[in-house]
Amino acid sequence: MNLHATELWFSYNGRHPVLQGVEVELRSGELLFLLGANGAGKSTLLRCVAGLLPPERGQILLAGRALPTMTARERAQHIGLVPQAHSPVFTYSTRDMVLMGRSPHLKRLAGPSRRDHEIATWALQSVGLEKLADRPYTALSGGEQRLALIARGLAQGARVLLMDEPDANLDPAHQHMVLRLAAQLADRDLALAVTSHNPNNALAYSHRAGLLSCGVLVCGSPMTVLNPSALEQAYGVPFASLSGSDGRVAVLPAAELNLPGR
Amino acid sequence: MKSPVPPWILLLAAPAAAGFAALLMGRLWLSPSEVLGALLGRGDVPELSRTLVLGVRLPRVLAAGCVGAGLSAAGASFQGMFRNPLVEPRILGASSGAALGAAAALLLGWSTFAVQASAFAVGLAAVAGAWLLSRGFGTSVLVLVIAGLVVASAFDALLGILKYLADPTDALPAITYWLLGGLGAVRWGHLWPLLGATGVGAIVLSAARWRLNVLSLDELEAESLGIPVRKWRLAVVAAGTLLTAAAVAAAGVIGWIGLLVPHAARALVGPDHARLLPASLSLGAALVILLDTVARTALPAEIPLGILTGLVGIPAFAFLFVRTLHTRGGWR
Repeated sequence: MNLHATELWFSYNGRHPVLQGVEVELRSGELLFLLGANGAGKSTLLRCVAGLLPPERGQILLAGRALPTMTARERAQHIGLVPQAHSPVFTYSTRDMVLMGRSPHLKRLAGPSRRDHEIATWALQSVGLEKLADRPYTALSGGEQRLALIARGLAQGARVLLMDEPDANLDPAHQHMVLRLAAQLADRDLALAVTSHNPNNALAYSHRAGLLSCGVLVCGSPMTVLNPSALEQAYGVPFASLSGSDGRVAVLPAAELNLPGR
Repeated sequence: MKSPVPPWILLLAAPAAAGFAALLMGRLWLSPSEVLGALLGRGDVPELSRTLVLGVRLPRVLAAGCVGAGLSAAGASFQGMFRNPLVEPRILGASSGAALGAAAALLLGWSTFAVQASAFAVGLAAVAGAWLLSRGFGTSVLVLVIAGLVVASAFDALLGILKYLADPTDALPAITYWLLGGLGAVRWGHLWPLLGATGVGAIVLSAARWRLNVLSLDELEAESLGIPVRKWRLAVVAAGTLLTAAAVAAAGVIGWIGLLVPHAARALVGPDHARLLPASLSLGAALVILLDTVARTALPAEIPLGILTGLVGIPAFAFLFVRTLHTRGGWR
């Protein structure tokens, strides 16, 4: 299922627009990384595309249908949002957290059925958390919590998954665990958009990348979009690019340190 | 782990057992067979026992059950919705409003029924005021809590004025005694509004109980799951307010129940509101029935129920609090 947004304009206070005519396309089978400086509007773009913030102008089409004409329930059956890991006040079990993904499928006043429980179990298995199902969600590690929230999106039946910084605050092994799962979900024909602060993760895992700067999004192949000069423009510090003997490329900030003793 | 007894039987058993025990006890102790006979309408039960069971004790047990179930269910739902385990059902001003309504009616010398009706109406009006006030400042639950705090403080101040104006020989003691809480004035004739309001409130919250889990998440997150957050929030606030206002109108200001019982229920069945809400209804009903029985039988004169719930509630809450911190590392 594809999602196509064109000419998106959005501002929080009516004066300084965060998004100034953004176009973005999420295609099924693709993992799209969205990068940009703090406050550039990555999370805002994600919320607009999820239908949770109405843009001032612009059009969002989900499989050809205008997103605003869909009910919240219909939207949630197709689009899942994986928030940054958080800690709920109450210590719900991991299974209960995943089960909440069934919300947009429940009958009017009913709770989850036996089938909803089965779907939650399947979702837990698809992310490899079935052994932790009965642990409190708050007792999971940061990486496991991300996986649980992704499982919730799968239980939701979403074909479009939007993830807000799933690689933040994780050690390299856990970043790999979460992003490998995202790439695997793209192989299962989901459309994924991931915001991140790590251009090297984009280079390693994404099919396409977008760089958000000054309210405008530039999209394309990760190698072309995330070139050192574009990154310098977006983040305001110089970048250098390194290539390994296997042809893989990495970028790193290359500002002069000028610290004594180094 | 599957319990051999269906859970709904356990839910009914606790308040039923407490209620049956309460029917036995009083200045005149009755035998279980006398109580059963009176309840089943058998002819061989003495007239006095029949009157005591059906006319005096049964309405009081039902009222205590409604008050306990209502305050506990409102407390459990509000704690979930406001994402704060220290919330009490009076947080939105229902209790302060009801107290003001009752005090005004007592000052005017109205009948018992009119005092209850006034308490109920002003309790609902207070929360409606808080809801309208909060709508001017966005939609977050924090704004609603602050609006509730403002309204409750305003009504508390007005209550102070009424007490200052009240005649210290008759109206002031009546107001003070009413505020301490008790079910001594319960009669069949006044019971129906309480039974009705508790029934409606409990049904609405039971329908919302699984969605309370989702409502206890971040608002944007709940909306991304397709839940119409504001509609459910209004339903939960309306139902919780109905329960609280009805309970305070019938029994006066009863503290601690709405805070304590949800914690005890969480310790028993876990944090999932689909289980927590029925457990709170059941435990709350049983606990207040027992406390009210103590209130009317322990001393020659009746102990105000509000004092008793405070005496029992504070150490019980301290115990649960410490146990929760030690064994679970979080609120369950």
